[in-house]
This record gives sequence, structure tokens and C-alpha cells, in this order.
Amino acid sequence: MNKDMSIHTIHHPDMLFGQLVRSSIPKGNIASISLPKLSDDFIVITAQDIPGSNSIKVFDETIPLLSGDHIIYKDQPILAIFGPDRESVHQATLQVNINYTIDEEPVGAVQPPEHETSMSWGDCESFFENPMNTIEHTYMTGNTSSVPSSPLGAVAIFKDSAVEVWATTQWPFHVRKTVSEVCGITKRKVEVYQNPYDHSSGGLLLEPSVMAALSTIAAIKTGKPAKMTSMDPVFRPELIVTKKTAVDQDMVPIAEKIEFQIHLGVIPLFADEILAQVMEGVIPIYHLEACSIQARVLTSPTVPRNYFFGFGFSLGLFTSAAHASHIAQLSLMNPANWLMKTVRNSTKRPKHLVHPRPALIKELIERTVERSDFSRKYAVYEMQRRRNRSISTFTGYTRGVGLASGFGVNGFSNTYMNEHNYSVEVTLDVNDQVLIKSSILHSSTEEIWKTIIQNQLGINSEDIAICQGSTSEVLDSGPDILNRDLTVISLLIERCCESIKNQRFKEPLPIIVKRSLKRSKATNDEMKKSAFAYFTWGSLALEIEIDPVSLNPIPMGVWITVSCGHIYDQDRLKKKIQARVLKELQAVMGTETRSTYQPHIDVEFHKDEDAITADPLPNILGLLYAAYTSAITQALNEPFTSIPAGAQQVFEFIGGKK
Amino acid sequence: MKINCLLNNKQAFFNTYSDKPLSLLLTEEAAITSLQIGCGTGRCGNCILLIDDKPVLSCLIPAFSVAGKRILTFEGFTKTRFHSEIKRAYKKHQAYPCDQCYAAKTLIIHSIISDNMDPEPEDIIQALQVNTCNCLNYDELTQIVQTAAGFRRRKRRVRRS
Ligand code: FES
Repeated sequence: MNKDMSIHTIHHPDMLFGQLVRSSIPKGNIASISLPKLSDDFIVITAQDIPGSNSIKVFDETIPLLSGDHIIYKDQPILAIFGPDRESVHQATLQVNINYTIDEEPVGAVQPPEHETSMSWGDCESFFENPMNTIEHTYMTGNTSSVPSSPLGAVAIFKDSAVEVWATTQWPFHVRKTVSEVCGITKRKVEVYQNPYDHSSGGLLLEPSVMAALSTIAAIKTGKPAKMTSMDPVFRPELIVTKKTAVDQDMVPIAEKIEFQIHLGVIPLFADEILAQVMEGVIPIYHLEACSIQARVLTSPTVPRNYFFGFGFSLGLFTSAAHASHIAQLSLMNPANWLMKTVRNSTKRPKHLVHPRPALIKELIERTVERSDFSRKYAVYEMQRRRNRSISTFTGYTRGVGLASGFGVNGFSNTYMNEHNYSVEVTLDVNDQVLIKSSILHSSTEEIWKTIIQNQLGINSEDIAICQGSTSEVLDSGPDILNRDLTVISLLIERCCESIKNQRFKEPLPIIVKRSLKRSKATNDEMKKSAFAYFTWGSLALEIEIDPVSLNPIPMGVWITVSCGHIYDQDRLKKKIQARVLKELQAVMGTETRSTYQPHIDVEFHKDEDAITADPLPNILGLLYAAYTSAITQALNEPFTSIPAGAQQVFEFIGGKK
Repeated sequence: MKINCLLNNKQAFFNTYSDKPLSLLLTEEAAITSLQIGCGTGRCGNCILLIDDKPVLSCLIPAFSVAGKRILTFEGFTKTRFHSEIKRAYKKHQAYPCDQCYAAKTLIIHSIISDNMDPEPEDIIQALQVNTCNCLNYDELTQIVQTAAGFRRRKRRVRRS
């Protein structure tokens, strides 16, 4: 079977198909379950049928696989039905009747925060006692759900007391561990193959493991291959950030109070990392004498949230860059000039935070301004804005242009990444060819690894291959969430290369080097020093026109200048950025269809050959959201502070204004 | 329910239930591997195939409705003489669809130039809008389609003469 095949194409004549029955209440107990009459071709799996442990562990968090008697969130899986074809299984699930006793707590109540953190520098309060001016806005990233663009699923085949599993997973070793623990079989007897999965949603972590474990139970009980697929929507975390900035008479910020909360559903998975990343994102690049930040993670009896492109860094960056634009607009200065004036080095900023590089930012902004004709457009639309026109089909266009600039981080913060095991093996064989063994399926960062090997060992990229097989052939490189492949794996590959370099020409070939990052508990002091190892810097301008009939904010053009270290294949990276920006614009506009109009997307790379290669997308996406909302703000002459922002939001906004 | 149809120029017989989509029938029972079932809900446009020469989203078509029809999937299309024109056009512009949408975009392009060998950019964009994958932009797609159409026109002239 080909591992590149979609999960749907894996088929066996006597295959069973499974479907989950989920809870319709957020909290309570199951009083009774009544099942329809089913023939012997069907099998029902409840919590009582699980041979091993009825739970899934992800790092330090545990969540039940199937609810026993107790429901802890809405849509929690209660049981699974497997049968000979999808339609009859679907019909059977519709006939399952579940009676609940409902907990008194109000539906959707947000539980007390479990993870909180704060940080500050300078004496913030003193600046707010007698400020010249304060500017306050609340930024929100809505509760956005999306249907994955490729199917989620798993297939299990049980043969000779061992099980083979195919799953659309980003972490095959997690599937293996879950199947082994849930089914009570040793890990050695579970072999997991990866099927392609939706990278754009960050790849889901829990769902493929749930489906693989349940399919395996069905396969073991019946001796037939079993498959489960799902197209259920997945949800992003919701972020609410309130920023209050004290500014001087020239509208230059002096101090800022930031409060944010991020909602993660029923389990606060990766909560500390999310707090670290959003924290890094919400801190502005402009100079501040003092700043205080309060942050917390909220949970509620709703489905666990998934991670889309970063543990919230891009969302945090959106709020800080959009806020900078709003202050710039109030200062009546061109935002490009305002940013260049307010970004400077500061000894006040704590060492563990990323420090802005004013010269580089200035250069990136200047390049973007020049290519986008930003200053002229901004002046024209600003003139229109100040005339305070309303949207009209008769009086021409309503346009705006936004500019945002900032840095991006990649992967886990240093301390977090040290807490989990990731391994990579690099082999230099007798033909001077290199093989990388890691459990990563996709090729988007392949070029970066190849560059590292090319630079370190002088091997041509055609002679470098990446082994992608089942769990028995590759090494556990951890979950593929959030460019982990860039940060941790790149670091490990570098270390392997260093070792190979030392042994080369002394030891006989092949030279095989394996490197792992092992769990090492960081002390509190070390935690304070935590920072990200990989950065990118960028500037982005975006022009929109509000369609007077549909009220859709239509992007007219996007200009991006980015500095992300040495680039192995510029054209490929440019295309990747353009495709991602288009997709993200659709998401931020709240449309799923591809419009006939595509904005011009101009990408320019700033040469910074000495910097470590890093993925510019988390940076670009945060800047894109910020420039988009700033452009709408200018077009509508009122601060627009949330995403998604499409025709419906513009309509509601105009209605509210009236 | 039993149906028969012409699948990639061969007679095929299937047993299907009432609401099984054509995409699942073909992948699960006809070993068609080129169909990329993405969303399964008609949004991504990766599951395109041609029914009686017209592109359709196979995840939205009930399998029973193709009884007696002519189905052409990407596997079947690669065996036709038309495939090479589109491949050459991709090569000429050094722009290739990604793995997810290659089959779908190629079949749509084929249907555009089968309908009109000199298509206007608006028609091209309209037809290709069904596939939401952004790996190629509209400028690139328009150039590819016009180049492929040019190859087909030339081939036809040569055949006539
Ligand atoms: S699978 Fe997405 S449109 Fe058919």
C-alpha cells in the first residue's frame, strides 16, 4: 500500500466502517443507552469494551477516549459502531438513544483559569497615573471552525497477533503508543504508517489516534480490517487581548498594559507553550518604558482546540501590529514613518524577549513602502477617511491600505522543546549520499534540512534523501505541530552533521549518527531565560476595497518583504507564501470559495545569509491579519479589531455605527 | 442497487447503496487512486472527474446517478492523447499543480479546451474556480490553458492537413 494514498483509497473487500456517537450535552452523566437491533455484521464499542486503558495521553495531559458514565464536554465520543458499509452504520448511529442527567452548571460556562502568567518591566502604574493620552482597544480572534481540507481517518488490520495501522496523523508514534495502551498490546506489535494529512490546519493530534485505537479494537474483535474517517469541523483557540497604551503628546507610546486570555476547550493542551508564544506575539516592537502583561488560559466543556500555524504566536502578533497601526493612525502620521520612529533598541526590555532590530525593520519597511506605493495610497485614502464618507454604490470606492511590521518565531520556546524526546538519524553512506531518518511526512522543510547538510558536509541536494516509512523504519521525531521540524529537527541535523564531519575521512563509511533531545527539567531560572532560537523579520502592506454591494473587503494587493536567513529555493518559498496568503485571506474574509479575483501578491526576500534559516509564515500571517484589519479601519474610518472580518462583520459594523 | 457505466472506456458494474457518493464508490470499489477526496463536501474541488465530458465534483454526485454514463478519471485521461498537451504546457511555464490538485486541475483544463480551443481568460478563471487549491495563481493557470489550447489547435491543423 502506498503511504501517499488518501485514507479513502485504502480499501479491503470485507472492511468494516466505523462512526462515532458523540455527547449532545456539555456536562453530566449517562443514565442509559439504548442501541438499535443490529445484525452480527455490526460491532458496538463502548468504554466497557476497551481492553486496555480508556484514555489518551498527550505529553502531560490525559483525556478519556470514550466517556464511561460521565460527560466532560459537548461532542465527547461515547461509543463507536462498526459495520459493513457507511450508510447502514450511519443509520445505526442515528438510532442510538442516550439519556443523560445534566449537571446544573450553565452551558458553555468558562471554568476558572488553570494556567496564568504575568510579566512586567518598568513602573507601569506611574505612567498611567497622569498620562497625556491613553488608547485602549480589545482585539479578538473569533471562534473559527473549519472542515479539514483532507479527510481524517485510520485503518487497522489485525494479522498474526500484530496490528498494522494507517492514519492521517502528524505523529505516528503517538498513534502507536495510544493503540498499544488502549488495546493492551505491546508497542512492538503495532506498526503505524502515515497517510497525508492537512498541514494547513497544523495537522490534528488527538483525532487520528482516537480513530486508530477504535479501529484496532474493531479489527481485533472481528478479525476484519476496520476503518474510521471523519470530516467533523475542527476549532481554533480563541484569543482576546486588551491593550491600553499611555502615549505622550506626539502619540509616542510610553507604557502599555496588556491582558489576554486564550480559550482552549476541555483540555489545556500545550498551555504553557501557548502562553509563552502569545506573550511573545502581543508585546509590541515599539519602544516602551514600562509594560505589564497578564495572561491566562481558559478551559470549558467544549471540544479540545487545534493548533493552526503556531501555538498562537501569529494571533498575538496580529494584536500588537494592529494596535501599532491604530496608534499610528491617531497620530495622523503615515504608519510607516511612525513605526520607523518608534522602534528602537531598549535596555528596558527583558533579555529573554526578542529585541527589535531597528535598522533591519527600517529597511524592510522602506522596501515594502516603495514597492506598494504605500505612502501615496495611504495619503489618498486618509483624505477620503477624514471626509468621513459612507459606503455608497454611487460615490465610488471605499479603500484602505494597511502596513504592519514585526518579527516571527519558529517552533517551541527553548525550554519547552527540551522537555520532550525527538530523535533524528543521519547516515553518510559509501557513495557519499546522505539519508535522514525522521518521522516527518511532508516535504515543506526538506529544503532547509538539505541546505544544512549541503553547507556542513558539502553534499549535493540530489544526494540527500529523507526516509519516510512506518514506525519500525523511522525514528520518533515528535509531533509535527508548529514547525517543530524546523527548530528541533534542524538543530539535531546540525548536530549529526557536526559529528559526521569529525568522523569523516577518519572512520570508514557508512557513518551513522543519531541525535536526540532528551527531557531535562528546566529550573525556574532557566525558564526565565527562555526564548526562541529561530526568528524571521518582516514587513507587509495590504490594500483593500470594500465592495459597495456585497460589503466584502476585497484585497487588491499584498506586498511582503521578509528576512528569513539563507533560502535554498526562492521560487518555491515564494509560491508557498503566495498560496498560504491566499488561503489565509479566504479564511480571514470568512469565505471558503476561491474568488475569481486574486490580489497581486509580491514577495521579496531580504538577504541575510548569516541568519539561521527559519520559516517566515508565522510572521507573515500575523502581519497579514494586522494589515488587513488596519486597511479596513482606514476604509471604514473606525477601529476594526477582530478577525475573521468579512462582509458579515462589515455589515454588522456599519449597522452598529448607524 | 446495481448500476453499470463506462469507466475509463471499460464497462463497469457496481453495487451501491442510496447515498454513497461517486468518489467513495470509485476509490473503494474501483481502485481509482487518482481521486483526491479532500473535504468530501464540495468545497475543495480536488475530486473532479468527467462525466459525459463535463467536469463534476464526484463527492457530491450520488453513485447511482451515473448509471449508463461515461466516466473519465485522471487514470483514464493519462491514457488519452490529450494528456501530453497539458503536460507540455505545465513544463513550458515551469508551473505545476501540487499533488493534491494535479488530477483535478488537469481534467478541468482538458474540459476547457475541449469546449473552446481559444478560451478567454474569464472563462478559464471561471472554470478553474471550482478547484480552491491556491498552488497556482490565475495568471499562471491562464497561460497554461492558453498554451495547451495552442498545442491542441496545432495538432488539429496537422491532422487535417
Ligand atoms: S472532495 Fe472536496 S470537493 Fe469533493
